[in-house]
Amino acid sequence: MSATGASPRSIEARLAARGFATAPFAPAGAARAQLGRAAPERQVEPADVAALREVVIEAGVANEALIPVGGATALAAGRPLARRGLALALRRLDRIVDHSPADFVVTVEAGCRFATLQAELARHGQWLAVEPPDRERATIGGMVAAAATSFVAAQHGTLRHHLLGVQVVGADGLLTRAGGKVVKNVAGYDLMKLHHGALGTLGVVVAATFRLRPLPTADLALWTVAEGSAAIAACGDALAAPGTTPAAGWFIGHLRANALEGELVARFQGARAAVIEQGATLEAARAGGAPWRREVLDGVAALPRALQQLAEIASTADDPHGALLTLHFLPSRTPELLAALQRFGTGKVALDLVRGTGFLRLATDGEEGSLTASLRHGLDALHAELRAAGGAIHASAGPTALRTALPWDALDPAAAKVAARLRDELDAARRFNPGRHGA
Amino acid sequence: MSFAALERLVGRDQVLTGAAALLPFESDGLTHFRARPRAVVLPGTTEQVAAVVRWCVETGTPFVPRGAGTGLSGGALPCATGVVIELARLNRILEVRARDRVARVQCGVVNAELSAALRPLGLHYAPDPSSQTACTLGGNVAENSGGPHTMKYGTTTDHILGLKVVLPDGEISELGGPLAGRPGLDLVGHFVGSEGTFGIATELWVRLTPNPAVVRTFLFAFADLDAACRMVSRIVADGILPAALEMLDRQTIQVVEASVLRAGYPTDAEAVLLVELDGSAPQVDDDARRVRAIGADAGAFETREATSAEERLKLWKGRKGAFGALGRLSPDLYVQDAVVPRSKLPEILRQVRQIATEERIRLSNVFHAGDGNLHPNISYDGRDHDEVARVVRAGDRILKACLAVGGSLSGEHGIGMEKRDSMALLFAPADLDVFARVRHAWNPLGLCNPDKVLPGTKVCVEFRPGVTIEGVTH
Repeated sequence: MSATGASPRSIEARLAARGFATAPFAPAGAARAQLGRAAPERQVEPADVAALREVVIEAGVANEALIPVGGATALAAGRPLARRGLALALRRLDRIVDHSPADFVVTVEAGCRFATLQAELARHGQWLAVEPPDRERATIGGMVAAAATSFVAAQHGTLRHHLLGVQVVGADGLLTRAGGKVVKNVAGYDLMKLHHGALGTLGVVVAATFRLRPLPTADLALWTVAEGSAAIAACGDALAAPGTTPAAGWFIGHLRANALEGELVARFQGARAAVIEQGATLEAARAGGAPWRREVLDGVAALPRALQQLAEIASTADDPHGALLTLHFLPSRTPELLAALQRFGTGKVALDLVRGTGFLRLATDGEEGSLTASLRHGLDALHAELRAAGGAIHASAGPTALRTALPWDALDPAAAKVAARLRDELDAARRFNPGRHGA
Repeated sequence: MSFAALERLVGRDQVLTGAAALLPFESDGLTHFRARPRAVVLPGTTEQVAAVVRWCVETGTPFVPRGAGTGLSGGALPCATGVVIELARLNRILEVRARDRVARVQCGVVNAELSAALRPLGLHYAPDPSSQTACTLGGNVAENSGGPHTMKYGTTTDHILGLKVVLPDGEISELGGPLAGRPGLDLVGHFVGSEGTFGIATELWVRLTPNPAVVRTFLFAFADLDAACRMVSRIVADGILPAALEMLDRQTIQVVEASVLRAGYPTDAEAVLLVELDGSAPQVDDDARRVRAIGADAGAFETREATSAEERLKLWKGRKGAFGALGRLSPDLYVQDAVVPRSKLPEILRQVRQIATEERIRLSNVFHAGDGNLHPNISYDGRDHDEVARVVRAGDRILKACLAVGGSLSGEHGIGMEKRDSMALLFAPADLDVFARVRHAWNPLGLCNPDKVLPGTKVCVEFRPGVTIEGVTH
């Protein structure tokens, strides 16, 4: 046995021989459990890309799986791990490599925290125009891998729309890149989109380049009490009316005994006079209902209560007693969705009324082995009703039994074959995150 | 080779053979690459496309998908031993869901015709390449096409939600769909821009964009190209996001003004900058005030705002028709496409002019300044072998200059056949190997649009005699 207690041929021994220490893998809260029964027990934390490449090569020799981890906020995404491996912590790769304010482009290492990047960009009046949940803990690499959602996607799109280039360490340990540092580029295949949402199963994204936007001059939030399903759907219609350009439009509230309670929240970003006008238009569209409150936001601390709740509901980070379902719906079918949700039962809900995505947070009492019959029945019914209305549902966090009760992705058999071949080409040994995206 | 089997699949009159019928399909918009295919097949349904592809697989016949043939990088260049699958007959708008802001269309729908059909609904399809009155949406998907309004609205990939694809083995797959944010591998995003090498998209779910409440279009004229570039940088640095920010240089202005597309550009200007602002009235008013101030500060000697829809259309007609107008100068036009970081525009434009002088070529610039996307256009006579050689050399030098300042090989025209051997200038062998492997995953037999995008030695095209293309054997 080696000094670490591992067998001489183990990955730990091999890494120790090259000067890499391993340590227990113990992310905060229940994050580790979300990887399932095969969650890694130890982690290695390379200091830079060169070290990371060495780790990948050693893992190849030892036939060890690697589980890239950033802020550990999205470990529940996808399927549970198919086999145990070593966690590959990326937090020391945290440099902002290159920020060109004149070009509105930044290149940043994967382990850099989103909040750190935004703070630096804000010094130049710029931002990466997304607002993810878990903004303090989430890392750039993790957000790319997990296709992090954004609360202001209605105006700015998601991270996918801003990703210009990636640097990736492949299963062979080679560092490759795709895309570039220009805002418009069609040279080479789009590997940015391929790695975005791939859960790190096709390679380790070690750095990414993004298009930036100027910080909006004004950020106006309006919120009011949601008075029933009809009012929620009507608000969605008002936000989609010609000439209305919301940054966000959400219903945020609770499902309770066949009732929906909560608030409608809209945000407008742009020139001050413009957002005031947009807000007034929305108020006029809903004349006669409960009055809107409004506030010009000047930072996270000023977020209205409903927006703070949105971040809590949509968080994919550890919650030992809860589960997060992500909803996809056609905005025109919002009334059917709302009816299905009310039949489903209790939970916290947040619906992006403009884009047709949303979140349903459930209490599950931390059950791991099986789902209660009533929850299973409710999930099946909700799933069926959403599908009938052209929508879809998947589980983003929660107990394994619940997550596996719902489909993860929607590839048809022909596409699944392409996906399998892509995996064969890029990671034939299923070195990275085995099983997270299915076979 | 007998094409009776193909005729049975799509109908006798939908298979073209013989030199005269095949002539229009010998090249796309990049005319100095030509090859005559064995046949051109015109399927009318996705199932027919799939049947044709399966026939190609069974017979080992290479196939090249083609839309309107407006591409400028040789992406739809036929393979001399294969067939062209012409998709123009799949030209129906199948479904428009206005509230959901999505539509399902066939790949042969012409770009501008979709927006025209959406006009009564107050919506449009945002990517608007200069060829939009002819190019098809399927071709736009293949090339990830851009256009003047991509600065604010993004390129094709930002507007495609789902695809029905005939894979290179003839299987039909539905990727994505009208719903936003589904989990799993983003095969839609990966497919867009694959230049017809991953399969044939026959149906598209496209995102629709609401028409802006207000549009204001400005012309700024400069006596100095550098000053115009400075204005571009200032607009971007000041946090203004115009819908479009387009530049024309003196040569282009002169040619446009001497043509039927006359737009009223000042003919004494070294550069004209077109700035279009859109959005709500207060937003546009605020931006307009700042843009005017920046223009004055940058030294514009004339500032003009289009005061009517007709006037705005005229300004744009000159810009979008510039390539056509440049055709008056000489028998052939080579439209180069490269992209640089915006801050490098003044420097690269100086180099481009220097190269043009040294290579003794007629060069004009009309380009998407807001994106740093250059289009140096070289007018030449393809019958003059010496001139052609200088044109090709100049194009190569311009590309290398762009790469040297951190740019890329193509902003929107694609790699195709034209730049496949230049890929090694931008990407390392390991990068290219990854590209080759993902292509192999989609297209394992290599029959779907072979030889494009990536460097290689196998070339199944015929070049015009006397043309010397660096790095390509002929």
